Parts: sequence; C-alpha cells; structure tokens
Amino acid sequence: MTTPQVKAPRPNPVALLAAAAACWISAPGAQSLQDTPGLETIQIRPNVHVIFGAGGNITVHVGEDAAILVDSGSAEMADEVLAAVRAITDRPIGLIINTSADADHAGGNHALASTGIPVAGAPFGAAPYANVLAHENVLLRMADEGVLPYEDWPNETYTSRVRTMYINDDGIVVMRQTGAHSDGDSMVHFRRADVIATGDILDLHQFPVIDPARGGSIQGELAALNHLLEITIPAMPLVLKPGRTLLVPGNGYIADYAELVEYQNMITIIHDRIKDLIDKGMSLEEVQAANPTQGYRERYGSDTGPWTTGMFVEAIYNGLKNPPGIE
Amino acid sequence: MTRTTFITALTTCSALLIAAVPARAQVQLTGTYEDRLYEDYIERGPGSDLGDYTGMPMTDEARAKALSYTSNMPMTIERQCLSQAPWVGLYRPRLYRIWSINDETSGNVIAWVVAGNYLRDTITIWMDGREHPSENAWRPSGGFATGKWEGNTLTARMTHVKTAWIRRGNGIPGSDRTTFTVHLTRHDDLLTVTVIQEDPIYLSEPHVVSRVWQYEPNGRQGPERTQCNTANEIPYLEDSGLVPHYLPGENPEEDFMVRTYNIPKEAAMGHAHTLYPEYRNTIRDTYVPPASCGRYCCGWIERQGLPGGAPNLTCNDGGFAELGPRGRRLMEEASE
Repeated sequence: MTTPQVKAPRPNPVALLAAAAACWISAPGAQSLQDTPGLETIQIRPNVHVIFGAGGNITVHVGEDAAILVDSGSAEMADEVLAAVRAITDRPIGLIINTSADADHAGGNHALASTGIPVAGAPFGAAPYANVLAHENVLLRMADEGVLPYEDWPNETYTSRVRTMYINDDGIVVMRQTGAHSDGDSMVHFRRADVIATGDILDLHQFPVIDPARGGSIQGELAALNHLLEITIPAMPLVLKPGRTLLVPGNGYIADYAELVEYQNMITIIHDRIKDLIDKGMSLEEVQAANPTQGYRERYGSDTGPWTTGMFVEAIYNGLKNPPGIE
Repeated sequence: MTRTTFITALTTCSALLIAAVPARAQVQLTGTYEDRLYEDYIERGPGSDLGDYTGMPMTDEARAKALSYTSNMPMTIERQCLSQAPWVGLYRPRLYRIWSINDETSGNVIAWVVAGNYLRDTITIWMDGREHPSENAWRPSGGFATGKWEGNTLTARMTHVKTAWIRRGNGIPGSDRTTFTVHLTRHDDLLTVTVIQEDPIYLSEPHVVSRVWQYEPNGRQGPERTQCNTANEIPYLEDSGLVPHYLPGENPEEDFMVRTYNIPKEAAMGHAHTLYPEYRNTIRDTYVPPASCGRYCCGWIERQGLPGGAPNLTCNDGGFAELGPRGRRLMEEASE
C-alpha cells in the first residue's frame, strides 16, 4: 500500500492578495491600524468582553440597559479603558462593581463612572454618574487607607451574602466572599452569560495575594475557591462541547473549571504542607527554608516585587497559627 | 532605498508570495489508527509504575509536584472528567481517529482534527494560516495548533494548553506554559507521531518521544468518550475541600524503581543526564540487575511468541496482554 497523496490545491487568490497587501503594508510610510495602546480586549461571550492590561482584568457586560464593568483598572489607564469600552459599545457605563479596594481594580472608578449614568437614571438635578458598587468593607478600607481619592470610593455598598439584580436581560449575582484576598472581596456571576469575575481570589499570574493586614486569610481563600468550585460548571457530561462556565480571574488568562481545580489543589496542598511543618514545631524561618511551595514556585512564585513567595508562605503560616474568624 | 534594502524587500515579498501557494506534498491522513503495543510495551500497555520517571528530563519543581501525586487524585469528583494533556495518547493503548475539515468551495484542507478517546477533547491543527491567539485567550483542553506540510510530514506547533499530567497515571506534570512541536508522518499504513515538548517550568530540556500507529480500515468511525459523568469514588472527600496528596518525603513509591529494578534513584527520578547513552558507562560497574523478575518481565515479542524473545521468562502482567484491544480499553477506562 502506498501512502495516499492529497491532490495539490490551486494557489489561493485570496492568499496571494493578502501577501501582496502585506508587502504594501510593510513598506515605509504605510499606515497601520492600532488597538487601544497597552490594552487588549477579548470577547468571551456574545455580550461579554474582557479588557486586559489596565491593572486587574476588567469584565465588560453589555446590553440594552447599560455597560456594566467589573472593576475599573488603575487610575493611570482610565482614559485607555474608556476608549476600549467605547470600542465595545456606545451604551453608557451604568454600573461598576469592585471586587476589592485595590488600586489596580478600583483606581479608574471616578474617571469611568463620571462618563456614565445610573442604570435607573440620574435623580432629578443630580449630575450623571454611574453606580459604583462594592462590599461595605471596600468603602471603609478606602476611607481608612486613603490610597484612592474620595472620588473613587463606591457610592453604593452592600453587606449581605449576595446582592442580586437583573440588568441587560441577565441575572447578576454579586457574592460576598470577604476574608480571602482581603476583607472586601466580591465575586460577580453573570448567570445567563455564565461568566464569573473572580477578582484576585483566582490570580493566574501569581500565588493569591492573601493580605492579613487587609483582612485576607488562607482559610478565607480556600473557602472562596471551594465556593467557586461549587458554582463553576465544567463541560460535562458532553465533554466535547464548548459549553461551560468561564472564569475571569483578577489577573491572567480566561479560565474554566480545569484551571480552578488546579489552583484550588495547589493552594490546598501548600496549606497542608505548611500546617504539617507547624505541627512538627517549626518556626517561620524553618518553614520558609523547607520550601513548601516547591512544585509551584517557578510558575506562580516570585522572589521580588510586591508579593513574594516568602510573603505568601508567611501569610499562610500566620493564618494557621492565629486563625481568623471566617463566616 | 539602498540596494541592500531593495533586495531584502524583494526577497521578503517573494517569500510571502510563494508561501501563499499551498505546499504540494500533502498526505491523506484521514482514518482510524490503532496503537502497536510491541513498541514500549509497558508504557503503552499496562502503564508505567508510580515513581517511574525514567526517560524524563524533569526539573526539581516537576519532581516535587510528581511526588505529591497519589492515584486518589484523579479519582476526586473534581478531576474525574477533566481532559488530559493533548499528546498523552503516546503513552496509552488508545486509537487515533483523524479527519479533515475542508473548505466547502475550494475543497482545500482548513484543518486536521485528531481525536483520541483518552483526551475528552479533540486536537485541531489549523492549516489556513491563522495566527495563534493572545496569551490571555481561553485555552481548550486540546490546545491551539497550527500546521504546515514539510514534505510528507505534517508539522504542527501547539500552544495554549492547560496544566495537566503529561504521562499516564504517575503524576508527571506539564505546565500551562508548555509548547509542543508535533510531526505526523505516514509511511504506507503506519503513522508515526513525534512530539517535542518544551516546558520552562517542569522540563530541564525538551522531551522528545515518538510512537507508531497502524491504519485500521475497519476501525471505529467515532471517537469514544463524548460523555463523562462523575461518581463518588472516595466518600470521605465529598464536599470536604480536601485534596489527596503525599507530603514531601512521604511518597512510598519514591524508591519503587530502586527496590524493584535496582535502577539508580537519579535515573528513576528523571534527571536529564540519565537519559543519554553515556549514562550507562557511569553505572556499568555498579549496576546489578535484580536476581529475578516479578512483574512485566515479558515484552510484546515474548507475549506473541515471536523470534528474538528472551528465553525462560516468567511473564506476569496480570493478564493485561491477553485482553485484546477492547479488553485493554475497558480495563483502562475502569481504572480512571
């Protein structure tokens, strides 16, 4: 039996034209189109886009009522974010939901909200301004720390386990998940689109930033990841079909159940290793020397920058030695 | 424009125009291919042992993660239906089914699709010149691959994979930063798949492996495993948030290859320098083969009674080889 050959196709005229066009575009003096500088926008559902590069990831949900943003990026990138939103939709920004008080997630609040109007319309005589919603602890944290100016503070807060609303023909569930990354964490589930914006609870760039000084804890982080596992639906039982819940992490690429399982397993295993070392009577220095993140450190760790592997281990160590009260 | 610049531009444009003409050498890949178990029999048949990382250029990170693995881990409800690494089929007794997606007008091949029922996803190798997506894009379980013909070999470059175990059943990890270069070469009714895997996290140098499949004209026409459901196999884990794993230094199989085959631990643990033939010289004077063989002593040649088999072996592989292709598949499915 001889190896069967496929009949060679004819030259593709479209490809020839494309090659010729490429030669023209590469010639000196030719103009090229550019996206919003420094940002990338990816459409993940018919009415859901994600903007990357403005600090934390920004989820944009569009529909007949308004543009809804989960997080607003850093203050420095607010103009670029606004341009990126305008490239997605001409609907005004009606609601910004902050997943935490971090400046890379909420720094663009004022610049973006001031271009919008509330979903329910501006009160008579009031200047148009979009709703900025966050857990109450975000407001308290911003007021206490003064990292972000007053204008960036949320103008609407919640404290309940969930805050629900129906906008853009979609059920939106804002879930209180405080005590994980910080004491103001929220996750946002767009139920019809089946997209969950996780905030920094899921961070595919690094180990999760568990900041005890701002109310974060390893116990809360694991509780949040286990909660996410319950509401994130994999491609199952029809595993060859694309349908599944999509996750927008605080940083990093668009994820699904598989990335979440890997991340939850990693954090649980590191937690267990550090707990075992504590149970053996080791000090923090001895735990650090034992390298309990090995197996994951090259992928998620860092020896420099604002969140090092050492800080991550220390946060878990201290959290296990002095457990916080978790809801 | 200088003469050099002009020549460079002319060369570049000529190359682009030539590239726009489809390559002539294109081999028909469509069909079903069965695995040939005489090749790397243990690896493709019953499967490698826990603690057997021989032949792998692993980093310290990879060893640490692999040694935390227990066979309970893939049995958790969360992991039972997760897809496996795209090319893990090279380590499994599983068929491949390949078909093309064709342009409805020109008939040209837009993509080759490779399905293996081990994966719970298909691998699509795009042939239409499209770019790889952004690093921020969602990653299908089968990764994202583009291909081109190099003579009679289809060469594909794959990116955008998920973190997954890259071999079978013993926890050797692959990171989401893995890239694959894959060569699909058909010689008559044999299909050779050569995979070059590069992983800056878990591999200290590229891992290269090739395996052969045989065209099966009466093969099944559809991939299995289009469905997967979970079941509670470890009751105490249900809704617990617990993850089964070994703590560092507590994996009882870490020395399995040493105590079973007298293989030096550095070779069993996947240190890169042990992959090369020169390594045999370093252990020639110290290696002592085990006095007797109690498991997987016979390869495919001995099993089939073919010439060239080692004499006087007691074959004990639990009857795996006698099961036949369907029996082996059922056995492996039951073990997952």
